[in-house]
Amino acid sequence: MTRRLPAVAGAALMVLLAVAALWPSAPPPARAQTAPDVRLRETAATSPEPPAGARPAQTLVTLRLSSATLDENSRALPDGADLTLLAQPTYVALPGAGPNLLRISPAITITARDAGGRDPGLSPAARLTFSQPKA
Amino acid sequence: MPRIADRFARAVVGLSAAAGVLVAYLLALAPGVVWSGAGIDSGDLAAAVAVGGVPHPTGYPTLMLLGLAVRAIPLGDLALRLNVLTALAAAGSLVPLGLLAARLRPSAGAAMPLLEAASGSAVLALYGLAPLVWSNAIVTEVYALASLCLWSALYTAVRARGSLNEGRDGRRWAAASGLLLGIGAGAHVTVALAVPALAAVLLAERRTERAALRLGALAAGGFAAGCMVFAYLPIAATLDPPINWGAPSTPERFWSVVSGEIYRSRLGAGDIGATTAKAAWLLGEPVRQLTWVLLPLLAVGGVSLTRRYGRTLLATGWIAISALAVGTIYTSRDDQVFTLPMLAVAALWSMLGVHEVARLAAAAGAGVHRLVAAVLPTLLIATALIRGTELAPEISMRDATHARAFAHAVLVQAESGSVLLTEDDRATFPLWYARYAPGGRTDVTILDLRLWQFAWYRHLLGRHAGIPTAASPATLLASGKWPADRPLWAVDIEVGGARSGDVMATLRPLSPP
Repeated sequence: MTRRLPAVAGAALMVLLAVAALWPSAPPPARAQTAPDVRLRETAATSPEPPAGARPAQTLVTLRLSSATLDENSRALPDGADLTLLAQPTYVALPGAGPNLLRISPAITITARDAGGRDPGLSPAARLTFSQPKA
Repeated sequence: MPRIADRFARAVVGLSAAAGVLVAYLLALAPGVVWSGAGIDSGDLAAAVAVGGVPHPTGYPTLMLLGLAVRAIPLGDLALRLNVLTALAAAGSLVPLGLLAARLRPSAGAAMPLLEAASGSAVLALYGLAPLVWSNAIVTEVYALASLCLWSALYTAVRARGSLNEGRDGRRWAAASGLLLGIGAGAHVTVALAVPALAAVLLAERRTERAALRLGALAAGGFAAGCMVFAYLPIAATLDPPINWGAPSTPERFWSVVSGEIYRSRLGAGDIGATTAKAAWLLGEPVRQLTWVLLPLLAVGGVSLTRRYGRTLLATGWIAISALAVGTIYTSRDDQVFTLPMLAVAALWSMLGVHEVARLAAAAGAGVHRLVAAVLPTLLIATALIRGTELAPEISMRDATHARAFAHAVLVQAESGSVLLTEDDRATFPLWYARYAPGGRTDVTILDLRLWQFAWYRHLLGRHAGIPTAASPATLLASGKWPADRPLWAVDIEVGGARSGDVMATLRPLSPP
C-alpha cells in the first residue's frame, strides 16, 4: 500500500487540478488600482463644476485610425471641432469632432496640413489640423 | 536514437525554449508604457527609472537598479528598453527551470535522447507562452525578474546539495542561492516566501548535518547580501526624486514601503465563500494556462519527485502552495499574477513527467519506447506551436500605443504651467512617464488626487512644483488662493473596449481663464 501511495497521490492531484480547471466561474476582477483608491474628504470635492465663464472642456479621444468605424464613445462628442493628429500615425485625437468626421473608413482619405498648408510630418509635439475631403 | 551528452542536454532544454519564446516575446513587445492588463504599472515603473526614483510599494529595487543600467544605454525610448529587459528576464527564467528538470530527471548524468530533450523544451515553451507568463513578459513589470531570481536560486540550491552529496564543495552554490533569493526579494518581496524551500533543499539529510548547516549558513549570508539591493530605496529617496512613493528615507517609512503598508487592507479582504471560490479557481490555473495536455505529465512528474527527491518535492510544493495562498488572500487588479510560481512548478513537474514517461517507455520495450519517443514530442511541440499562434493576436501589445498617445495628447493640449488633476492609474502613470522621460513638459505638474492624502506626496509637490499644500487644490480654488499662473485642469478618463480599449479623455478646466 505504501509503495502505491505516490501513485494514488498523483492521481488525486490530477483529479483535483482537473476539477479546479473546470471551476465554473472566475472571480470578478478586483477594481483596486496601484494608487490607493481612498480619497480624503477634503479632496473629494476637488473637481467642481467649471466656474461661470470658464473655457469649454476639451475632449480628447484616441482611436484606432485603422478601424472601419470609430468607437462608440466618440458619438457623444459635440459637432464642429477639428481633428488633431498625435505622435503615432495610427491614432487620432478628436478635440470635439463632429459626427460626420467620426466615420473614418478606408474609403475616406484624411489629409494633414499645418497652418501654412504644408505637410508637417509627425512630430510628437505637432498639433495638426485635419480636413475631411469630399467623398 | 540520437542523444545529447548530459552536460549539454542540461543547458539545451532551457536555452532552446528560452530562445523560442524570446522571439514570441519580442514580436509581441509593447512599444512603450501601456495601460492594459499586466502593464498598467509600466508608466510608474518607467517614470521611476527615468528619474532614479522610488515606484509604488514595495519599491522594487532590483528592477530599479537594472533599470538605471538600461537607462544608460542611449538607444531608443527608455520604456521600450525596459520592456526588452523584462522580455529577456522572462525568457531567461526558463533556463534555470530547464537546468533543474535535467538535473532531477530519473536518468540524470546519462546522455539525453534528442526527442526527450525536445519534449522537455516544448513543455517549457508552453509555460513561457502561457497567457499569464507571456503578458507579463512583454511590458515593464517585476514578475519575470522575480521568476528568474527565484528559479536560479532553487537551481543553485539543488546544485549545492548535489555537490555535498557527491562529496564535493557546494559552498559557492549555497552562497549563490541565497544571494539570488535576496536579489529576487528585491524584484518582488514574495520571492522571500521561498526561504523555507531553499532550507528544505539545503538541509536535506541528517547524515551530513554539520555540512548541511554550513551550507544553510552560507545561503543565509548570501540572502542577507542579496537583500542589500533594498539600500537603493533610502538612497534614492534621500536624493528627493520627483517620483518618490512613501519617501522611504527613514526606517519607519522604509518599512512602510517595503512591507506594502498602503496595500495591507487588501489582504484577506474577501469573505470566506468568495475566498474559497477564488482559491478553487486559481488552483485550476496550471491546467488552464499550460493546457490539459500537461496535466497527466504534471502528475507523473510529481510522483517521480516523490520517489527520488522528496525534499525538492516539498520545496517546489511549498513554492506552489504559498503562491496560491498569496493569490487567494490578496485582492487587487492583478492578484492572479501571484500564482506565476505555481505555473512554473507545474511546468517543472511536467518536464520531470516527460523524463519519467520516457524511462517507463524504455523499460516497457523497444516498440513502446519508439512509439512514445515519436508521439510525445510531436504532441507537445504541436501544442506549443498551436497555442502560441492562437494566443499571439490576443496577447500582443505591439499596437498598444493608447497610453502613449493619450499622454502626448494631454501634454500637447496643456497650457504652460498647467496642473493636471488625475485620479486613475491609467491617467497618472502614462502622464508621469511622458512628463519625466527626457524631452517631457517640465512646466506641467501631474497631481494625483488619491495620493494627496499622503504627507510625503504633498511635500513632494510643494518642493518640486511649487504647489501650495496648505489646503487641497479645491479649497484653494474656492477661496481664490490658487495661483493664477498654474491653470488647473481635471483629466477625466474613461476606457472601454474588450481589451485595453479606446479611451475617452476629457480635459476639464477648473480655474477661470
